[in-house]
Amino acid sequence: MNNIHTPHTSDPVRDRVMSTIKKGGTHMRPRWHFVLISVIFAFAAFLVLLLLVYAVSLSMFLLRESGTWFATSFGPRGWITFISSIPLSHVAFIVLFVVIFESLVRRYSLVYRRPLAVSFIIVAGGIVSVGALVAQTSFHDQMASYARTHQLPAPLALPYGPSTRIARPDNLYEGVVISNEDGVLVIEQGDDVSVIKKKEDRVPVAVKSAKIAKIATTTQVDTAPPADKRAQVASTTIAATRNRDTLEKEDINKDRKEEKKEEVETEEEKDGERELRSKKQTRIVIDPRTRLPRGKKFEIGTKVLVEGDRMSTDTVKAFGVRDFDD
Amino acid sequence: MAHERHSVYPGTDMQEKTDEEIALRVQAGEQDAYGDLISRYEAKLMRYARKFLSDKEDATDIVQDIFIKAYENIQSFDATRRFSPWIYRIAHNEFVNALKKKATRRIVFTIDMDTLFPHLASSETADSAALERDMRETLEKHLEGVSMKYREPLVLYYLESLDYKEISEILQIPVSTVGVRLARGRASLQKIAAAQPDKPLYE
Repeated sequence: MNNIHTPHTSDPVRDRVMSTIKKGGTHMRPRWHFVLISVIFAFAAFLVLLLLVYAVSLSMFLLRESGTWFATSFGPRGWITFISSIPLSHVAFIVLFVVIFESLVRRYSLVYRRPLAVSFIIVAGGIVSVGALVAQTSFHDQMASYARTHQLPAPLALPYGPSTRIARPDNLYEGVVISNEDGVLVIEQGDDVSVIKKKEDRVPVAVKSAKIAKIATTTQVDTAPPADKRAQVASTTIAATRNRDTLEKEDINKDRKEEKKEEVETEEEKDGERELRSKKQTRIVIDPRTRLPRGKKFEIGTKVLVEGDRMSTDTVKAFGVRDFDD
Repeated sequence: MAHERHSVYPGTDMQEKTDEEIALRVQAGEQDAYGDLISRYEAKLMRYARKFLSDKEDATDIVQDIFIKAYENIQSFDATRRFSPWIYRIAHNEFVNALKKKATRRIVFTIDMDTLFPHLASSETADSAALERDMRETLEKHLEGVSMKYREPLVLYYLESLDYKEISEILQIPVSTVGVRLARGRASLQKIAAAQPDKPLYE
């Protein structure tokens, strides 16, 4: 550069800075350094975005599995049920990661030129939309299926375990229509369930067992057997267990895992009294204000979701009924 | 405007060059060209620093640090954009850090409501030359009384002649928020000026 940069006046700041640069007291960072930082930020933002889409779609999947997702079709009351069922932990996790995402992308003029609330709404809206699209696919169904069959590593299987399951709200009922007459639907709820009542505290421990249920259907045990029936139930259970043992011996080589499960159940039976519960029937009262799908008649065998208030142990006044296929 | 050409090297080719062209030369490895950028911005940054830091020695040291930082990071400057907002952004960060170090109270993270919601009163107003001159005079006299939040946009707009978009880039806030802060800063300044009508221009 020769002398073209020699200043005409003495300039202490300029001289000190130029002297530092020339003596090697400071170095210009190479361009790749900034490119790398940009790539790291962009990659981190992308990962957070993926995590957010996954979290939102998982929440939607879990809400759909619990039936709460479909409550929105029952109008404002359904929406209240839906919103109040969303776990706060899910909301907190999603908001936290939206904030992290915002802080990662806030360095870009496209983001900081917009008011924070606007960019937050755009980001949240985009994530919810993409999450809803993912929730529509069979992605989570497959992941849940892999998790059940232990084909996923533990951290990936965790979101599909019982700890993250969203409980169905008390005012939502799911069942299969077994009768539809005079504004009253009768639905059958739940599976046949075997319940072990522990001796010491009498707290029931429910164990769902397909085989026991199969045997129990032949014995027609009531949902809540009275005290005098308990002895009969217990003897039926013992007989059922014996029958089951015979069945297991026959197909012992077919399914070793199931055998282990049965052994655990037999151990439990030693500690307590097994009680069998069959499907529960509930009467659903429909009045003119009940929200129903237009032109829809609920055929026998249709699976339905009902939102309503329980009037008695077996009767529910419906605010909305819709078909439900989970 | 910040884009004016006022090289201190009359008769050389550098005075014809824009800041961005000189920055490109520095990026290409011409160390000496950086001296020209320093000369162009030193007075501006010193003036800017003195509006925030009371101690002249502090201001000189910080301006020196700003130029060192700018040199270290000059490869991150995109020469298709304006150089002045880029160097003022570095200056802003340095001043904020210096003020944080000096603060006796711990600075608590808060959300600035001005940047949270969109504002309607945000359009840039074309003040008359006389009005701008009056405003500059009032600023020089009463700036100390204005809170830091409004002081910076006022200084950048009236004293450093940057536009809303450039101030938005420097402070990394929405353009509409710049308008709001300027309006509130002006109102605050006028209030202070009305309360101290006899204060001389320079004390």
